[in-house]
Amino acid sequence: MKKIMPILVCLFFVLSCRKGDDAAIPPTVTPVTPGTSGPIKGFFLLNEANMGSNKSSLDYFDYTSGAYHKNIYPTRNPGVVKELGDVGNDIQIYGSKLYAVINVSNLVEVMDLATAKHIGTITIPNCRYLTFDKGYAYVSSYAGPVLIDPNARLGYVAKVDTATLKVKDTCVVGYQPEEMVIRDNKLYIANSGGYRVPNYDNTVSVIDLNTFKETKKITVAINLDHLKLDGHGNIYVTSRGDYKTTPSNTYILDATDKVTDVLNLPAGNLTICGDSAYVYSTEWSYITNKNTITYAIVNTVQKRVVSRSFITDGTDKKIAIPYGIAINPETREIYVTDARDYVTPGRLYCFTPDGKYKWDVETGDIPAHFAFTHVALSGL
Amino acid sequence: MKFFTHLKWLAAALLLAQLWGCKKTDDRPATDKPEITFGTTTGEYKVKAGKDITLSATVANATAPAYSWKLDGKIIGTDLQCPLPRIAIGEYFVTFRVDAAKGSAEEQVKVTVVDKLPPQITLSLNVVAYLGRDNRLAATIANSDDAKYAWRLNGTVVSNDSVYTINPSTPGSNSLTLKVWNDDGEDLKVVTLVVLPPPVAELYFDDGHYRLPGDVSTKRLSIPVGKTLVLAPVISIMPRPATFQWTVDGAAQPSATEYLSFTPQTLGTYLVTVSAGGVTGKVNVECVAAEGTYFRAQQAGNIALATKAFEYVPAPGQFTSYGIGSTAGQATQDLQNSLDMQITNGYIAGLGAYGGYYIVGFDHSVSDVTDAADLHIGGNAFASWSEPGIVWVMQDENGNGLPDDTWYELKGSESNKPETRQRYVITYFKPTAPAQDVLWIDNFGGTGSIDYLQQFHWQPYYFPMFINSDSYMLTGTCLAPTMIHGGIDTSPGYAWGYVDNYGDGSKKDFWIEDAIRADGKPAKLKYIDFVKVHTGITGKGAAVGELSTEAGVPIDLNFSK
Repeated sequence: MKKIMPILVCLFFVLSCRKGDDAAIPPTVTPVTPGTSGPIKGFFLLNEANMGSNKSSLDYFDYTSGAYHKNIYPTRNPGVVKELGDVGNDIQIYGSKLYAVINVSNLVEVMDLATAKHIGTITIPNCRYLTFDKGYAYVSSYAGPVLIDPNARLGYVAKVDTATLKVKDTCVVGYQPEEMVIRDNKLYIANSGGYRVPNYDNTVSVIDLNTFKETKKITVAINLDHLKLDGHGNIYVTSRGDYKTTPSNTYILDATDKVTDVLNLPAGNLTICGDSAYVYSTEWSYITNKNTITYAIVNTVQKRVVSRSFITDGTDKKIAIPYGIAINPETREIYVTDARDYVTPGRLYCFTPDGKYKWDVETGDIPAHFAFTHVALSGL
Repeated sequence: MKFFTHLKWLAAALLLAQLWGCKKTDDRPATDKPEITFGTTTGEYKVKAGKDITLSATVANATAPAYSWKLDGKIIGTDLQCPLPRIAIGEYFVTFRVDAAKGSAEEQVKVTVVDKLPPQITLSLNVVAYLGRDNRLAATIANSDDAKYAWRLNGTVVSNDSVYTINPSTPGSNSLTLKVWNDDGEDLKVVTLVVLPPPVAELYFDDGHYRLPGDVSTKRLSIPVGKTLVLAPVISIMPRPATFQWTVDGAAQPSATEYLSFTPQTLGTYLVTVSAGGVTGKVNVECVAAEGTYFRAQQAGNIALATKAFEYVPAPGQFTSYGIGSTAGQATQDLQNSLDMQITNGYIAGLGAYGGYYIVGFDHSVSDVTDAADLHIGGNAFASWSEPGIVWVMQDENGNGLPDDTWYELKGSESNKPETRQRYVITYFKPTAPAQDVLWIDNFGGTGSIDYLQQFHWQPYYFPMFINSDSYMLTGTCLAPTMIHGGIDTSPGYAWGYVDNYGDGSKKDFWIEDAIRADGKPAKLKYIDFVKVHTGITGKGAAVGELSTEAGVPIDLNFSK
């Protein structure tokens, strides 16, 4: 039987342009800081929102005016009835387009970077992250339904032509694959195996981009999530552990695809800027039934933890559930989001490069993913 | 015992059936590099702190090799076997290197030293055991040294061994629990144990209708006088016999193959039997009046679409919804209601998984027009998602207006391929409670299930509950699955000849001259009166459940308006 559900959702988006508008909710604009000028004009913040709520939303911070615009998508896209969709999982900029992976809506929303107006969608079931290379977008997909299942199937990477937004090819990788990086014309992808709990996957798959075939799997650790490339040709790999006896940890893969370092550092997410990797961990344990929250900085030249905090004035105590992290590559300002209770609006905190509080603002639900832009968003 | 031979043969067939599925091609280029394999199936070693473990590697393609094992920059071994030095609890990556005459290679293997190493069970979720015989149940256990076992059936401990042998006496569903423990902890798995009646070796003749197991009644086929009927039995749960013995009304026939060509000279009913491997099947063949005697010319008031629903028996599936209290008559009436709406651009029935079918008839005989398509049967296929259905046609040979004569398959592009299985049977088992997967076995001993997809279709039973038995058998032709699970699930179709199939355009619609006898030779039917369509493929899409044919109404393409 054909895919009735995903096709209906897909048709809904395609056909929705002609619907008449109820008044779309306008963004909430909050001045948060004096305006500044520079090559980076702003950043988009994608809010995941709780699965099943269909409340994923897009915020924008404008550096020139120093104002935060919460929920910009509806007024710019009044014809898209379901708005962004369910669980925004990644946001990236490539060329003149802004791509948002809307995981449980099974699509990538593609917008014009300058206006955030809808251009098209790429339908990919249970899609998770994306990365770009030579005119193609690579999207990771869990492939199967959103369901814990010990027999859940292998996932894959879809290769999408960014000119036509059509899927050109797919490559099967490990189970429930997550984030990707590209290095030396090879695509690396973290396989979590999360649906097959407790039999998590424990590999990073490597795809040769010339042939778009998987050439090997590197055993690292269970339940892998993030991959980040540093400036020295190393890939940082994070494992979420099993939430019981196997803790979260961070590993380094060198240019020969060997694991050279086990940092013994739990990591929920990290971002690398210059020679520093900023890491936070919100580590849940089923044994203690608590989260343990930690922050750290890793020096990527020495490959060791050099600090156990990058918020230096105590403001971290206000952050209930750190969920997203970004560093402005020009100013080195630090951004950390707080998901709070997951079901009400979160908060975004901005810190100076040496970790002192600058401002905070309310965001959408579960603020998570950042994309800095050199193109000022029009129509603010 | 004959049964155990069959069981071994079944296991072999099952293995073959699984291997016969997805194939991966190995694109690695030939190389002079040595090839390293580690002595761990999981890609890593796990050892409890304080215990000893030896890392081992095997190397191929290396002459005059030198080995080294490196941990944290220090060499810890120079042989293929390397005892791990005592190291603290943590995760390590040990690099093994081979330097050989023509090249060198390096591979890493992960070693984790843990505080505690409890056992871990891998056991499949649905376990099948057969009535009245010993079934040996075992699980794969990691870290099973010094482990203890307890199997519980419906709460009662039945074994403390690593293996549990059960000889069940009642069919149905049971709760089976396995607990394995050592000093470091335990693992527990709860699975459903389904007890099924053992499959029985059979030879029988398919008359196009579903069959209940244990049905030993003699079915009926027919043939107009002057024509040849080719008979072939369904071979079920037995190795393919080398020779067969045929009789007609007790008289031995010259054929020793699975086919008998029978050309009766006089009207009447003949009893045909076939025997092989100690099993016998029988069928009554009625020789009726010459072809054409009961031809119904088109008349005023007739329509091009099939008008009468004779039977609708879906296979289990997510769109099959006939609950407890439903009847076969209701299903047929549902089909009749669809026909009465005279929809030409949709489908009239969802057939469910393999073998589900409908049988309809026209208000006139549909003639074979030479070198032209005769029938159109719509579906809902599109490129990359086809769920092909097989078309069978029947003449009203005995003129009684009922589809009780002989079915002839319309051949398609896949007909002569070895992967295409004729007289393939799936037995579906009725669930014992709502919201259960439907288990099935086929005539080769293969097993499978139609998964209950709670999040998409929540009618309590995917099995048509009007079937008055614990199971039913659907027979037909099964095409090799084309479903590709790499990437987005796609089910590319076949070139031509199937309903609900995105063909390659080489041949469209259905041609009565494609009707074939059981041996694949043309049946040369001048006209037909009835059409049967059944789902001709097995397979599941990851997000969408099993493949099932949606078939439209057959339409006489040469109907004179």
